[in-house]
Amino acid sequence: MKSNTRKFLTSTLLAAGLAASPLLSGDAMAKTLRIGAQADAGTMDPQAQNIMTTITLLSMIYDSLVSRDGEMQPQPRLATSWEQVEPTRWRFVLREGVTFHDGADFTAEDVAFTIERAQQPTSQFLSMAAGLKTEIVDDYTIDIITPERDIFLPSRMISLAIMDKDWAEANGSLAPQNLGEGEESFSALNANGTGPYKLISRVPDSKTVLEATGEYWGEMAGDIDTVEFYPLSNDPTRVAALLSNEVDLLIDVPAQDVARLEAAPGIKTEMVDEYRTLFIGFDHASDTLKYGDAGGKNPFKDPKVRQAISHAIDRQAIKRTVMRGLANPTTQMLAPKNVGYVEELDTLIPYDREKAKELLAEAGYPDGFSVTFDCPNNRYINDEQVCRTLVTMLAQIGIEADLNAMPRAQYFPKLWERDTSMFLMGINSPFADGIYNLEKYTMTRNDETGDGIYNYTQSDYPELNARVEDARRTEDEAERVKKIEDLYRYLTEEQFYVGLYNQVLVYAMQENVSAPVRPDNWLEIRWVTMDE
Amino acid sequence: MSQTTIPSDSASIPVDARPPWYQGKLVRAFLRSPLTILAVIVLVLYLLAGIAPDLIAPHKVFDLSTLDFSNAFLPPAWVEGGSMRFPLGTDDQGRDLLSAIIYGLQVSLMVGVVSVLLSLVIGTVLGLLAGYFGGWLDALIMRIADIQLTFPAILVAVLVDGLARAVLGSGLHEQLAIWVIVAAIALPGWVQYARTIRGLTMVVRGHNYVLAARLMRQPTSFILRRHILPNVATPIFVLATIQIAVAIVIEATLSFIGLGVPPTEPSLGTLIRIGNNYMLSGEWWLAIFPGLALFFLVMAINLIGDFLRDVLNPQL
Repeated sequence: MKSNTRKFLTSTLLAAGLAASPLLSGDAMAKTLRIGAQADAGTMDPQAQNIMTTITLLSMIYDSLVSRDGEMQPQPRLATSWEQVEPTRWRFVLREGVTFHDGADFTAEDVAFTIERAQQPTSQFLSMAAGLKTEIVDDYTIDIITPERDIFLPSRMISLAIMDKDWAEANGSLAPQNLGEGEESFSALNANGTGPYKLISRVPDSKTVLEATGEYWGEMAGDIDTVEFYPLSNDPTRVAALLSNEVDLLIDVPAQDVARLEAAPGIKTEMVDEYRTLFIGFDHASDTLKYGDAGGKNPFKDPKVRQAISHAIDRQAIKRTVMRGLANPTTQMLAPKNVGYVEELDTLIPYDREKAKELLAEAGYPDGFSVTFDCPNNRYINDEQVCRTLVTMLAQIGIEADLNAMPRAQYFPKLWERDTSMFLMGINSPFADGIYNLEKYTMTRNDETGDGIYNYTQSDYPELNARVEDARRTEDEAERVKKIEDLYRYLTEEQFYVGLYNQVLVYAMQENVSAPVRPDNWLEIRWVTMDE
Repeated sequence: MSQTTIPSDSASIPVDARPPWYQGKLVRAFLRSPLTILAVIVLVLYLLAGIAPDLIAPHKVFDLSTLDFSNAFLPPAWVEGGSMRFPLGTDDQGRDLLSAIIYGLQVSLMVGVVSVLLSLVIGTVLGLLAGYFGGWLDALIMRIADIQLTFPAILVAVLVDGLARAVLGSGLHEQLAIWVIVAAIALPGWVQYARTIRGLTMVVRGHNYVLAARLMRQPTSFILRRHILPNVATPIFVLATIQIAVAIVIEATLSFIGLGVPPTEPSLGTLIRIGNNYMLSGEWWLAIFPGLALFFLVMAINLIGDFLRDVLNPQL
C-alpha cells in the first residue's frame, strides 16, 4: 500500500517536474520546518483574531510597517522611517518597490485601508487602531493622526498586518471576518501579503502550509523554504510528535514535559521569561452573580472578597506542582521588564488562608458562596490544570468554584460578550509598557477610543479612568512612570485582578533548528534557521 | 418467575421451555468454573466500592478542603518517595489516587448500569411490539434500528452530548451532565435488545399457549407481559451483562475526550484523561492505575457475560 502510494506520488511528481522542472531544482535542499502548537491559528484574516498564534503565523505571510529587532526595539519593515512631526501626527515613509504576492504594488493606499479595516466593529485590533486617522501625502508617504499625543504609535503598527486594498475589495473582504459569530469569509481561508511566505494550503484545525516566495524584498536571516503548521491539542501527543521527529519545533511545551525534553537526545529547549501575566478576573458590575449563588449579591464588587481569593492562593504550590518551576508568582498584573513594574507588588498579597477566611467573613460571606469559574483548556500552558488547582484552593476557604473549562474557540467569544462571572486570562503589553494594560483592561469599555476593550469585568470606575488618562497624557517620562507605578500599586491593593504568575515560555526543537524565543511569544520566522 | 402461572392447558408446552436457571444447571456450571468465580468476586468488590465509597476509600477526595498541595505527585507506596498513606500515589492536587479511583468507579458503574437498564427497557418494548404485531409497525421500528446501527455508538453519544450542551447551556448542562451521558449511551444501545427480542417474539407468538391466550380474548398487553416476555427474557439478560461493560467503556471514552462528566466529578475516564497529560513526564501511575481499574472491571463483566452465554446458550 505504502509503496504503491509512493510510486504514485513519484510518478506524479515526475510528471509535474517535466512540466515545471525549475521548481524542482531546489527541492533536494529544501528545508521544511514543521511547527507543532497547542491550537490552530483561528483564521487567515489579519484583523480578525488578536491571539499570538494567529499573529505569528500571519506575520510570515503579511508584513507590518514596523517590527521588532532582537532587543525588542521597533525596527523598520514596510516603513523605512517615521517621525512625530506634530504631537498628534506621525509621518511614515514607506518602502518602494514592494509587491503583494498577487503582483500588486504596495502603496500608502494599502496602509490607509488596513488601518480603516482594523477599526471595523469585527476587528480585534481596535487596541492598535482605534481613533486613528490617515492622510496620504504621496504614494510612499502617509501621515497617521492620533486622537491625542501617542508615543507608542510605531509600536502599535507592529501588530497591523498590511493588506492589499484592491485584493480585499475584489474578494469582498473589506471588513474583518466576524470570528465571534463564526462567519466564514474569503480572507479567512486565503491570504495575499508582502511577506516572505505565501499560503499554499490550509485545512483549519489540521494543517497549514506556507512556502517561501523566493522574492522577498527584505533581508532574511532565516533559511526555511516551507513552513508546515500543525495544531496538536493533546499535550503528550504534541511532545511525542517532537520526540519521534514528526515535528521540528514546539512553540508551547507543557511544563511537565520540559525536563523530559531537555534530557532527550537530539532535542534542545530555549526559554525566556514571557511578558505574560496569568490572572483571575471577575464581574465587577452585576448586582447579582450571573453564574453562581451568593445569596442574591455579587461578592466580587467588594475588594475584600477579591483580596480573600488572592490570599487563599498558594502561588508557590502552583509553581512547584502544575508549572514545574516554570512560573514566577505575582499578585499584580504586570510582568518584569515592563515600564511601570514594581517588584514588591509581586508579593503584596501573601498566601495566608486564615487572613482569607477573615476577609471573607468581614465581607459578609462567612460560609463562602458558589460561582462558575470559566477557564480555557488550550490557550495557556497547563491552563486547565491551573484552574483545577485554583478550584481546590478556593474550596479551602469555602468558595465553591465550578470549573467550566473549554477550548479557546468557545472561550474567547464568551468573554467578548462579557458573559462570565469569574475567568482566567493572560495579559501582556505589546509595547512592554504598563500603560497598555491599564488602558485596555481596567478602563471603562469604549469601542470608539479602544479603551477598556479587554476589560471583561464590565467595571466602570470614573476615578480610575481619569487617573489612567492622566498618566497617558503626562509628557514627562519620569512623572509618567511614577503615575503608572502608583496605579499598579492601587490596583494590586484592591486586587482589581488577582495576579497569579508570569509564564516562563519554552520552545523545544530538533537540534538542527535554531529558533529564538522572544518574550512576547512572537516566533519571528525571518530569524529561524535549520542545518542540514 | 411467572412460568408457574402458565394456563392449565400447559400439556402442549415442552418441558425445556422453562428458563434454564430453573434447572440447577447454572449453579453447577458456576461451581465448575474458577475463572467465573474469580470474576464474580472481583465484580462484587467493585460493586461494594462503587456503592459505598465512603466506607472503603481511605481519603475523602471530593472534599477539596482536605487536599494538601505538599502531597502532590507522590509516587505509589512501593516506589522510592511514596507513602503508605497514599498506596497508589497522588495527583497534581495531592489527591489520593486509590480513593479517586474508588469514587470514580461510582460514576462509571452508575452510568453503565442505568444506561443499560434504560436501553433495555426501550429495546424490549419496541422489540416486543415489532415482533408481536409485525406488519408496518415492525417495518418501521426495524428500519429505524437499521439506520441506528449504521452509526457507531460513540458517534451517537457524541452527537447527543453536543446537542444537550447547545440546548441546555453550560450551567444547566454541568448539573445534568451525568444524566446526559446516561441518555447519550442508552440511546444507541436499544437496537441490540430490540432485534433480539423481536426475533424471539416472532417465534413464541406462534406457540400454542399464545394462540390459546388470544382465543380466550386475553388483553394483548397481558399476553405480551405474561406469556411472551418471560420466554424471551433469558438472552437479553446475557446481552445486558455484556452491554454494561460496553457502556462503561463508552462512558470512559467520552470522559477521556472531555465530553463526559465534569472534571470535578471524576469517573475512570476523566482520571485516565488527566493522567494522560503526565504519560511522558514520569508520573506514570496517574494513567496506569485508573486504566487497570477500568480493565479489570470490564474484564470481570465480560467473563461473567461469556459464562452466562455458554450456559444459557441463547441464540444471540
